[in-house]
Amino acid sequence: MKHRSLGILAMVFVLCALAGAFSPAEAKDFLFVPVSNALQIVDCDTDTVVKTVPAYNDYIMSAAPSADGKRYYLNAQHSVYVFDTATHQLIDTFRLSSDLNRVTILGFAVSEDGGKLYLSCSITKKKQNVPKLNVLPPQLLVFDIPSKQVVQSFEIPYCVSGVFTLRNDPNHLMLVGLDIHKIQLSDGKLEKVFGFLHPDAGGEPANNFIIWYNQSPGDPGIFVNAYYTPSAMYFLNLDRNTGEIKSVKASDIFMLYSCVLSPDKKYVYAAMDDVVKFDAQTGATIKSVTLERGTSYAVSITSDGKKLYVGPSGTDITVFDTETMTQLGTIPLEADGVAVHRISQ
Amino acid sequence: MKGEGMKGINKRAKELEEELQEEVFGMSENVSTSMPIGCTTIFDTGWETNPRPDSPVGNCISSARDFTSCSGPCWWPAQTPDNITNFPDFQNQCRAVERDWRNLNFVIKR
Repeated sequence: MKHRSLGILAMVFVLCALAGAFSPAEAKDFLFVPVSNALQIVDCDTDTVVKTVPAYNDYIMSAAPSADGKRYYLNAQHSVYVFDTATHQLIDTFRLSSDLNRVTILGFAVSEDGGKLYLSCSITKKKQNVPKLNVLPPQLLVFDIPSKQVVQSFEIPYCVSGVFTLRNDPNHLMLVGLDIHKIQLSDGKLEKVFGFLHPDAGGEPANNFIIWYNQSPGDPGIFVNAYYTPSAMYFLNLDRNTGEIKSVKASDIFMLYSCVLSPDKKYVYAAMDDVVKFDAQTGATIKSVTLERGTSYAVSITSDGKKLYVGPSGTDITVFDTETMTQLGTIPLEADGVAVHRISQ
Repeated sequence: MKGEGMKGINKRAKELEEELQEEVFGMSENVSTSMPIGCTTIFDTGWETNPRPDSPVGNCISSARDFTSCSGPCWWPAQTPDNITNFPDFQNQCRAVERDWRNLNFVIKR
């Protein structure tokens, strides 16, 4: 009887050990920070740079991870660099400009299936030996990643700096600029769905500065950014799951470059000269802290929502505890940068 | 060198005139806003111009911290190297503006 009990216990122990061995490992959070001439990777457990990849020679204006987190795309204005996030290797470069065809990428998004890039572009054409530049109307280019070809292009409104995919609707994109338009990808048909500069009758014209999209793969999928009327600040909530757009009036006015929503969707964290925690539902300010290191562009949050990363702009990222908004430390970088994205692996 | 009253005298020159007329779009046309665009590809004139008489002031602290993104979309074309067109590789001289600003040679080229 004693031997039988011991045998059962041993079997249970072995099963537990096997279950532990084969359960999926807990994902670790990393920050991907494209700075001038190098991609830097930060381990969010230790808040240190663990790798610097000097794989390109360029200034990076913006970046975006693919929905599955396997690829990281860097917008170098005239070309796009593609990194494998597991190996940290530069695996491809898409050069869109030539001497006679200058393409400048203002904003871009990766399709949800990872097969296409949607690029908001300004295109200037020149002809050999003809002293004249032809500035085309702004274009949305649909770039097929496997074939490395532009497969569609559509005329779009001026100043579209934000391009957003919809997670459950591969046939439309949201284009954010002077206003928000929904574009149908089959024929380029545009529908105005929200007015910043051209609000509905009776509304105040508003201004925005939408360059940063601090998304992470697996996040709630809601783009949040501040916008301003002459008298108030609002948060734009663009739900990429449903396409719904909602505005929340903030209780105070801060000058803010970019925002990120907490994983539980309760808080908005935003930064420029200050880092500020807001109630996402009411727009009330919970706490603001002036940034010791100065103006910062981007914000990123860990997958458990406990740590906030503010920066870069200069050569650093500042780490905050999201509960208390106290500064935990500063991560030095090799060069200036504009973007940061958290990718869990 | 297209002068008033000058006309193409051969077939190719006439074709070229027709092509140019069809293709040229002026930036000032087709723009539905009175806001300046020019080199700045984004419609906002910049928080740093501080549209409000009092707080929040909206100036970047320090201005060097705002250099990187401003030079990218040509935000301050007079104050930062225009890396879209004329100084595409300025970051080779100046990877971190607070540290390397003395290396910038975009005013006087050596």
